[in-house]
Amino acid sequence: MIHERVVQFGPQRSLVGIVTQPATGRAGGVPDFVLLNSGVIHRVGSNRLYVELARALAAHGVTTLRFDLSGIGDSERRSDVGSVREAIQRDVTDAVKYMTGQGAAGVVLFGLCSGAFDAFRSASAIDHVVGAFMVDMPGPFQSWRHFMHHVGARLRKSDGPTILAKLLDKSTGVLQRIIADEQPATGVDACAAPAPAPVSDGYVVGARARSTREQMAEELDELLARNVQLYFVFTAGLERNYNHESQFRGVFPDAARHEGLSHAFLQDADHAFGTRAARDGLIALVREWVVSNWLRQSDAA
Amino acid sequence: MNPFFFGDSAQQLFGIYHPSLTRSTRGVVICHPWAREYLLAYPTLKLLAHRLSEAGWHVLRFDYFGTGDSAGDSRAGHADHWVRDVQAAMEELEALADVREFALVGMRLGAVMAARASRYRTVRQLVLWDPVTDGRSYLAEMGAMSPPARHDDSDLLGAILTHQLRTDMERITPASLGDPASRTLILASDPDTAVEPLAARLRSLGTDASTMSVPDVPVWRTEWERGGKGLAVSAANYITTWLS
Repeated sequence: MIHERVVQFGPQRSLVGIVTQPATGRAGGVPDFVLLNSGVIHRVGSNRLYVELARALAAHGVTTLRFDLSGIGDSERRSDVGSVREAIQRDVTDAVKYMTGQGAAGVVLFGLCSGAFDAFRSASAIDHVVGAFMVDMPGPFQSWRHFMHHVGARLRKSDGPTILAKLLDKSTGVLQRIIADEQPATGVDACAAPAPAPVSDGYVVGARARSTREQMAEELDELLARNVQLYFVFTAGLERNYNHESQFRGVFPDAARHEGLSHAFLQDADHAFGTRAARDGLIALVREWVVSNWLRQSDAA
Repeated sequence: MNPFFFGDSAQQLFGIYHPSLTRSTRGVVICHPWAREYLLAYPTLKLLAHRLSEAGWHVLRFDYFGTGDSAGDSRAGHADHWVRDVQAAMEELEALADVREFALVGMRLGAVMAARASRYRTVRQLVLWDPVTDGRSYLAEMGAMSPPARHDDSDLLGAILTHQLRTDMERITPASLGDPASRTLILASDPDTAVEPLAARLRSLGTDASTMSVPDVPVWRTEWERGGKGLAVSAANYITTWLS
């Protein structure tokens, strides 16, 4: 049995969320999850992913908060900030404070797309965060090998010899056109879209300046040194960002060897998790990660 | 604005109540579209709720059983259940704000639910916003827009299309919307929406049905765009004026 309730917190209780918890209360030593918006999709998540994830975790003793950042979904814009980036940081901090105030031993931040970016950034900034699970996080993951996988995929899909001839003839200009010719991801891909008027001024894009690879390597080191558990998941649906199994290891070899970091490439999932099978697969991955990191330790204790 | 759960505790529905900004006994229940259309239209229907509350209406928008934040697995919902959900929302609004005069606003599939529920209680006014009037075309349109199903052929644009739901939708025709006694507006913000067959049928039944074309963003199928183009402001304003 699970129990769900509406909560409002933050300035003038302007942030709206749903807490999903096991009827028996929290399992000891297990952190709560806070789910962060994907772009401007409200807290139910892309194709209801967050609702299904919250209920699946509650069945394993994990309490979850899914909420709307200010200006998204049912949360009002906050007036106590000077920038959208600051608003996101304060919103996530308020959410973590709310859950720790309700008895959470620690918090895991979970996000898809821009939500993954916010989870990563906020994990660095908020002490109570003990883990971050990031799905299709935009970041400095591209490499020469990523590019070669990309070209290989294009050659397989298209008129290979012709493209190859053009490649040999015209070099980089053609390469750029091949990249530009990619088809967008299918399904509800609002995460990649800028926000509507009430949340304009770059809520999704402009507020989230990406780190360079060197900066991200440092951020990873700092988080792992703090013993924050990290999981990076990538789908085949955002090929421009990530396109082969070993890509993370190739770009961040030191972090990838750390026992506190996991990564996976879901070849059959699309960016929006538009199928039940894709959603179930991701939820199973989260559940296994929770069990191996916290539930087993909790049982042993 | 007050978000809350209501209804049977085993099948609780998520709703957001927007109280009237003036003393009033008039209430509107907003009926969402379904699946991908629900996600995309959400900001516009929130805007409509704000407009209506400013205009003196108590407003309740809510998620059907098995959708959004409401209870239920994504396979659990079906048309009859959702019509009962609209009725439950009206009861809730009556209890919350002592509403005596109801209006229903439904967008796309939500218009079907609103029309079918409009015989319940005294629904004085009914707004059918780009209503679905041909279920087979609706399914074809949704299917044509969907990614290829890889694992489960009942996946439809991120929602689960069960056998029952498919049957429910295939049966949608102008006649299946019932016999609403209310003053009815059929609003087309999209030039592709066929409103006349439905309007003609309603008029033949004696309903005070009018149609209006308010060209605006078809928010249920338009990804959010920069500069506010993702909100159907003109349509929301027209509905607010028409109801008031």
